[in-house]
Amino acid sequence: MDRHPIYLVTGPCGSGKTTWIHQQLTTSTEPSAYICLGANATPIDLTYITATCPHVKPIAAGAAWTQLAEIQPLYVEIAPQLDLAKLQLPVDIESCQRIAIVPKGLIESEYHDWASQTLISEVTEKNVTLTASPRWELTGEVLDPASLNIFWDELIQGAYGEVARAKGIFEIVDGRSFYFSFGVGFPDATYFELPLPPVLAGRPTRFSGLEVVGNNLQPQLIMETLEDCGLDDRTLAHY
Amino acid sequence: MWAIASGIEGNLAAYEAVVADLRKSRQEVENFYLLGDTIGPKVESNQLIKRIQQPRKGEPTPLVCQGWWEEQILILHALGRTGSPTELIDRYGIDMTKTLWDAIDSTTLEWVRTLEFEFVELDCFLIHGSSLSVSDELTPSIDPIHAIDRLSRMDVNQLFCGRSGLAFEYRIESGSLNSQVQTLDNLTAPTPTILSNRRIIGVGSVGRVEGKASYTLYHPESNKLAFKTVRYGTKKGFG
Amino acid sequence: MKIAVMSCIHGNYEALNAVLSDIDRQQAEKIFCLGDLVGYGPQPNAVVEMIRSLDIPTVQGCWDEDIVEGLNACECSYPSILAEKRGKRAHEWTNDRIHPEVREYLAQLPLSLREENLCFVHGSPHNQHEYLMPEVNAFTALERVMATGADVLFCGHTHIPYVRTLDAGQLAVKVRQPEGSSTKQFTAPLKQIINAGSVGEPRHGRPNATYVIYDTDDRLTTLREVKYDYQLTCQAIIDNGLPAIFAWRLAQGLEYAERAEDPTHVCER
Repeated sequence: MDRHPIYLVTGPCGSGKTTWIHQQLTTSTEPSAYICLGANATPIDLTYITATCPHVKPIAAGAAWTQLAEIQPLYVEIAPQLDLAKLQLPVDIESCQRIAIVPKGLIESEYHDWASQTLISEVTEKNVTLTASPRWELTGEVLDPASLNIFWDELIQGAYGEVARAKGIFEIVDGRSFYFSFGVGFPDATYFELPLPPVLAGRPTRFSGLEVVGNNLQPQLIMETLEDCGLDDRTLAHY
Repeated sequence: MWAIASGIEGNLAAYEAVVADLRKSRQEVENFYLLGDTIGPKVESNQLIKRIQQPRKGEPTPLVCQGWWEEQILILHALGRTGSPTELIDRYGIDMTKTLWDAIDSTTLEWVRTLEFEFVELDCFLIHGSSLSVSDELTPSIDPIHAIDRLSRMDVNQLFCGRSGLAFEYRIESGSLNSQVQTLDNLTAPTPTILSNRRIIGVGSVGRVEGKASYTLYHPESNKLAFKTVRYGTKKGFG
Repeated sequence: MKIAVMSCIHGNYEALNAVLSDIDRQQAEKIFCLGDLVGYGPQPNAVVEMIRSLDIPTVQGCWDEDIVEGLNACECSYPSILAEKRGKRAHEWTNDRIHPEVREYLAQLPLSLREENLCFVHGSPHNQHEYLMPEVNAFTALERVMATGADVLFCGHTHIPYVRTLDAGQLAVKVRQPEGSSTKQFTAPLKQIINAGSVGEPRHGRPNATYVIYDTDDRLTTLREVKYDYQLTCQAIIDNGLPAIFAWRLAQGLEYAERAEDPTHVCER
């Protein structure tokens, strides 16, 4: 692929957009920039990219687009909630490299039509209509790792409704921050520690949160269980 | 070299004899362990504890853990791990509760409260009774399966203890046992578990037998053990 | 003689009924129960009344003890904050509904039972909270059997049934004392640990109830897995206001609470 200063990356939910962008960003160390559009509530992808690629300048959604010209290449991840036909950007869309990341088995879609280049990811097409994508911001919450493991296993096995995609960034009791990712059709559910400095005193102020996409989800139960995984101030002070 | 002793039971003359013997040996004592029953039901215990806390020049500073008598005095003051002094009464009668209570002053009691339950160093576990309890009396005639249990509870090769007051080395030179497990879905082939060279060491008793103090020397580099007996005259003006 | 041994019913009456019918079909002459009659499940009173009415010799499990004594399991017996909170909710729910005579019955249960060369306990002979997992060191396992003086130790508590046979034990011991030394050889006789699994809260990855049949004549064990309508219990969990996650875990064969990480860990209370 030719180097191009601006990449607009789209695709259905859980097709591997962030994974692809992350691959591009980690194969080079040149200064780059990243923005995720349509994910204002939980900047999970932004936090993940920032933590793992220090040479990448993160641009918070809603930030002035004048910044965009400064560092290139610029990767713009477009969340599937946004309507591509109505997409308005302060740059000429036609002049950007428009990448669609689509799962195996998806032959035609609005993403194909819109893109200048279509890449087929490792993810298999899931024939489900996704009805809900609840999000939670958990910044300041510190979780018990053993509880988090139980919750995560339950979540991805369907205890709180059918889950197609789940990503989260969680703070655990020893001050470390973890990225969790699961998607139906993804090779494996993964989690790993983000290379961030440990928070050793008080509650962390950096972002943590959870985003789930699926059907018949029970957001109330998910929230309550997350609360049950958290440490209260007294227990936290003990550590 | 380590020196390991137990059961001074408030016998200051016996303790002085051991310390003098160590000094005479002219070998450097890296660790000097006192595995409990440092106090006994006599007033002299308070004086002994003062002596132990203030080693003279050239004397090693003892590392002291709780023993059976320490546990009893803590129980009497409602500071123990169990509520009532049943064991004390069963062994010595009801009068002993008063004798012990009267003998141990508040300074000594405070010191007892600061003691560790046990020590773990290298592959050695050092304790008054055993990994089961402070009252567990390991003797040279213990059943080998029980001996292995006490060793494996702490996952160590060597267990030093003092409850029996006897000096002994109980070495499991070799052992093997076949195990086969059948579950709902599987039947494993018989698998042998093999172990070798694990031992329980009784370190003797400093103060229990009047005029004869016994303790143990251990060389961690060579794994060699030596049982020492010191005779001392109580009329010579010690203590 | 064929005996049936079951454990960990946890207030699941449907599962108990199914197991009792299966025991009938297997023509077992006697039934033993290894405790944890209540806790987590929706029918604690019905389960205890059934066990009592059939006069099934039963030992006390840790849940039975907690319902009698008040929740005194130490924190370390819960491997996670989440499991602890769920356990406490289950305890409160059960504690609020249990009948006084059921509580009295649970209070008088013995910690172990003996029948000839067989011994019956909930967790281990040393402690009803101890998990005798099949992968516990073989010598440790042998110690648990020998501590009872029996040849066969029946236990539950782990919720996964198994039979562990320990044999060909050989030990060489050298004892040295200031007076002299001696060498001894020991041979350990064949011993077995038989875990009865769980009737009402299975953990083997399927929702089916498990228990064991043991033939005292030929010393043969059969691990039984019994299908039943677990959806009825799931519905009762939800209808009775127990946490819905218990129903989901039951349907997965996952048990409601995770185990402590160090299974032989026993707290000092």
